[in-house]
Amino acid sequence: MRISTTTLESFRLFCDPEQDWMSEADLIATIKGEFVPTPAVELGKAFGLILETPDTYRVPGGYRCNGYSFDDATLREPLLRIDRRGVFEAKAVKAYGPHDVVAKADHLLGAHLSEFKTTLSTFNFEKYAASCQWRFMADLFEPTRITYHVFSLDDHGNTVVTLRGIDSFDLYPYADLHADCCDLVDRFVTYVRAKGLESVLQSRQASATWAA
Amino acid sequence: MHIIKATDPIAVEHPVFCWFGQPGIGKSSLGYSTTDPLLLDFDSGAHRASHRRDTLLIATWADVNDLMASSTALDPYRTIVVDTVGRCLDLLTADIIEQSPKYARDGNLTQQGWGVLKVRFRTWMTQLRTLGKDVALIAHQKEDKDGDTTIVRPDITGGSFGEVMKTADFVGFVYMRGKDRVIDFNPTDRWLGKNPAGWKPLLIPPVEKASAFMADLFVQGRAALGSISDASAKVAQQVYEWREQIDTFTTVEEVNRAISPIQKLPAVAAPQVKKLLMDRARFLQLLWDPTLTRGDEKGGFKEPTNARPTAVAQATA
Repeated sequence: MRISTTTLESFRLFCDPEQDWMSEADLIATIKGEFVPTPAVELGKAFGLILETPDTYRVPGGYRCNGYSFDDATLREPLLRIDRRGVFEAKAVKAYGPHDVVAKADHLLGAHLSEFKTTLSTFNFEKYAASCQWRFMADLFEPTRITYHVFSLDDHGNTVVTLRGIDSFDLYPYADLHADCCDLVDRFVTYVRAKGLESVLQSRQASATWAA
Repeated sequence: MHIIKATDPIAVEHPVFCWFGQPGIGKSSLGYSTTDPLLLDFDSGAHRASHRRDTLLIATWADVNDLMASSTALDPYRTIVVDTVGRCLDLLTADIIEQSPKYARDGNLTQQGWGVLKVRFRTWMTQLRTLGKDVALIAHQKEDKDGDTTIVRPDITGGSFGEVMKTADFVGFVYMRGKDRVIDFNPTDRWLGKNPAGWKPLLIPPVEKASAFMADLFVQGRAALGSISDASAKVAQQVYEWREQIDTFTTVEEVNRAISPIQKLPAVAAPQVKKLLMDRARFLQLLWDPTLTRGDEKGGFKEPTNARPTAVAQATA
């Protein structure tokens, strides 16, 4: 099977007894590639696109992408946090037994990996520290350091977005990292087989090439 | 003016360590095992610690202001130990409310008040590091249930918890394993951790033999952060050299010849160089053909059949 880290994080959230917003229907939709992005996800995508190639989305007084508008003041500090000599959106694949896990890093400079996150609520360190996403990023890309830049945004109920704050912090690989990743992949594969969903992920692995 | 290039390492001169654990396990004594410590005793617990060294009792934030205002008080000390950081933030909160009551509602900080707390704490940490001090943050542990699992985390209130976790380069949990004291910087499903040095769980010697235990870890930790930066600089240089080479590619043969060497690069460099090659292939309007063969390997780039009409026209002219 070919499994994305996004899917694995959805599965981890679904298994977390303390959360109730990742339903099984949403998880299965994610596995099948049918998940309909929420407005918050769409906003995060638009913000990420601007961070990667700001000039593409430049308009007088700010930036505009996928229907969202950001003024200069909103993007000034986020853009300053990114070293443009790095590589954006690099993809890595790693085999876990017969299964491939695939991830895309928002930004890599040397052995330093950065992820850009947006939130419309308040910053919650544990939400990011507990996620399996950075663990798989660390296991696949083998960086020496992972930095999360969490941009707290306010969409004011419309599509004009402002920045409330930025929280940046570092995370590091640790001794049992690979074992933790293997364990989650095993549990996920067991779940997928129990639900009879493996064909979707198998066909993705069959059609995968070095270039995609 | 000294500009640090992307390919240069950046030394971390003054790491911030945080450790947490249950009362009585010897957290303050560990604080006294740092190099030339001054322990800021925010919760009046230092008298219980073994091998006590210089200590400043902190009753209100004004005591911290007095300390920081003195031009020489901190000179003899290399490490500032904040014991506990939870109580420290409580006192800072009280000071913010006293100074600006608008930042409080029903005795708690407003959202703006939390913002002020974060900024003031961060500024203080920066100030200490700028003065050339290492910083140790000590916290009690707090237990929360997550389903059937008990999660242990530093006992720090609300939004300031995230600020401490952001600030700390190293976060370790101190616990008893049988009769042994252990500090583990690795995150697990039971506790938070940050371990840039990749340490295994470390046995803490008996108190009388641990007088320099944390001093040694600070030295090793500083070196680990330095080597992380050094390793990253080497990879950045490697990617930079590939970028220069890839930017000169003009033919499909050059692009295809690069694939095998890229696959052999270290895990952290390969995806970056591959992305650069893919971008170059796109720029040259090459297409990926999974049926092509390159030696023993399948897949390669090809030119589109109707591509480069100019080149074709010139060849037939």
